[in-house]
Amino acid sequence: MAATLTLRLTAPRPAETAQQRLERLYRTSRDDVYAYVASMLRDQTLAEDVTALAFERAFRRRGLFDARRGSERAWLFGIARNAALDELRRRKRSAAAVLEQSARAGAESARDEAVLGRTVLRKAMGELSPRERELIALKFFAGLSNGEIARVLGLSESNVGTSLHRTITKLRKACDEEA
Amino acid sequence: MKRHRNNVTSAETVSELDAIDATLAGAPVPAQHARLADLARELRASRRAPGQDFVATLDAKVAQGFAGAVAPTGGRRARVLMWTKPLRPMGVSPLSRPALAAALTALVAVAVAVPLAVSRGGHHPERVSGAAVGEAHSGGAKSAGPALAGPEEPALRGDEKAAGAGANAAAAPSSAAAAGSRRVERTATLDVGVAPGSIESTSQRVFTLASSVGGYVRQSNVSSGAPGQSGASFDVRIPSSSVSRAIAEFSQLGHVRSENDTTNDVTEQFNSLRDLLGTLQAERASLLRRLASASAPQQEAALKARVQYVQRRISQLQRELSGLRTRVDYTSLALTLTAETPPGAKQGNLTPGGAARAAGQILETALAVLVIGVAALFPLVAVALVAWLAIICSRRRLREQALDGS
Repeated sequence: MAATLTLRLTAPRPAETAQQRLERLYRTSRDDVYAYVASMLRDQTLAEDVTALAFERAFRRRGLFDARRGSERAWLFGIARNAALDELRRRKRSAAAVLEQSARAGAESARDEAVLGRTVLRKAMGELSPRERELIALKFFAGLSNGEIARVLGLSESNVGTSLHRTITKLRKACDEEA
Repeated sequence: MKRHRNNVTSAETVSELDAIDATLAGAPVPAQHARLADLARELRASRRAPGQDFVATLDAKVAQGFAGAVAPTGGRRARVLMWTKPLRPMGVSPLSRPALAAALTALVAVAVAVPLAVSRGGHHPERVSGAAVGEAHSGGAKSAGPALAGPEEPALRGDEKAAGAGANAAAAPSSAAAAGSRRVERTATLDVGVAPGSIESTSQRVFTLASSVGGYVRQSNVSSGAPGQSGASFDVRIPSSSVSRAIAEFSQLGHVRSENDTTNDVTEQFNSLRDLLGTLQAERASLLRRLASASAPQQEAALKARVQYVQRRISQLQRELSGLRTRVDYTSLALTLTAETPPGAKQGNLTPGGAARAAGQILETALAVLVIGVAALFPLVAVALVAWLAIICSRRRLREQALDGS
C-alpha cells in the first residue's frame, strides 16, 4: 500500500481574537440584522437604533458567547431579537399605521411591475401574524438556516421547518388572492 | 442544510423547504418549485437595506469598539442607548462576578465570626469590690467619730505600748484615725496571670512594690519549674490608706484574672473590747488598792488571785485590740501569680502532634465559620435566585406579548 504524504504548505490561520471575530460577524451580518429588525419594527429610524444597540450589546457581551450553544449568527440575532422586542414593548408601535404607509407608497408606483409585485407581497405579509412575519424575516431577510432560527426562537428545528412551510403556503395563497 | 426530518414532516414539505434553501443559496431548483423559488427571491429582494449614513456611522463605532457608546446623532437613537445605561451597572463583568460573590461571602463570614470571636475571647476579670462599702463606712462615721473615740483613747494606746504588743501597729499609719473613728477591716485578693518564665522576676517585683507603698510581704510561696506547675502566692499587708494604689500597681504585673475586695466594719467589736479593757483596768486598780489595805491573810490571798486573773484578762484584751488595730490599719492582700500561657502558643510544648492538633482546630473553626456563613447566605441566595428567575421569565413573557401585539 502506497503511503500518501500530505504536506501542509500553507501556514495555519492564526486564532482570531473575540474582537476580530465580532468585527467579521458585523461585516457579514450588518445588513441582515438591519433587515430583520426593520421588518419587526417597521420604522427606519427605530430599526437603525435597535441595530446599533444590538451590535453594541454584542460587543459588550462578546465574552459570553459559547460556541457549543449555537452559531455566532444565532447568538447575534438572539440579541437583536431581544432588543427589538424591548423596543416594541416600549414604543407600543402598531403595525397597522406602517402597513397603511406601505400600501400607499406601493399604490403610487403601481405602474412598475416589479414594484407592483412587491406591493402585493407586502400586503400579503400584512396578513400574516407577527410570529409568522418574524419567521419569514429570519429566513429570507436575515438568511438564517432553520437550525439558527430554531436557536433564536427557542424552538426545535423540525418545528421551525413545519412552521416555515405553513407560513410560506399561507403567504403564497395570500399573494394569489392579492394578485 | 441539516434538518431533523420527523414523521410529521411530509416529503412534499421537505422538498419545498430544500427548494427554498437552494434558491437562497443561488442553486438551481426543480421546475415544479419554480413559483416557490420566485417567491423566495422576491422575499429576499424585498428586504430593507440600511441607509448609507447609518452604515457609515455604525462602521465608525464598530471600528472604535463602541468606546463610550453614546449615539452621536441624538434623538431617538440616543434615547434608546440611554435606556440601556441604567442596566450597565447591573451587568457586572462576568469575570468580576465570582470576586463579587466571594467578597459578599467573606463579608457575611466576618459579620458572623467577629461576634463569635468577641464572645469567646473577651475575658473580663472577675472583680468584686467592696471598696465603696468601706469608703461609705469611713465617710459616714465622721460625725459619730469623736463621741465614740472618747478621752480614753490615748490611755489605751499607752497601755498597749506598755504591754509591748504590736510593734508594727505603733509604726503603722492609722487610716481609721484619719477617717474618723470607724474601724474598717479590709481584705483583698488579686490573681494576676503572668508568663510562665517570669514568675520569679515578677515575685521580686512584688516585694519591691509592697515596700514602696509602705507595706510588707507577710508570707510568700513561689513555685517554679515544670510548665503548668509554676506560680506564686503572697500574703501582703498594705497600709489601708494605700490599698487602691497598691492594687493598681500590682495589676500592672500581668493580666488580671480576678480581683476581690471586701470590707468589714469592726467598730462595735473594737469599742466593746476597749470598754471591757477599761473596766478591767479599773477593777485592777481597785483590787490593788484593796490589796494594799488588806490585813487578813485569807483576804489578801483572794485579792491576789483576783488581781492575777484580771491581769491575764487585761493582757489578753490588749493583744486582741492590738491585732484588731493591725487588721484595720493594714489591709491583707492575697496576691496570686498564675502562670498563664498565651492563647495559641504554648511555650516549650510545640510538638508536631500539638501543631497538627492546633491546625486541625483552626481548620475546624474556619469550616464552622464557613458553614455559618453559607447558612446565613443561603436564604439570600435562594431569594435572589427566585427573583432572578422570575424577572427572566417575566421579561421573556412580556417580550413575546410585545411581538404578538405588534
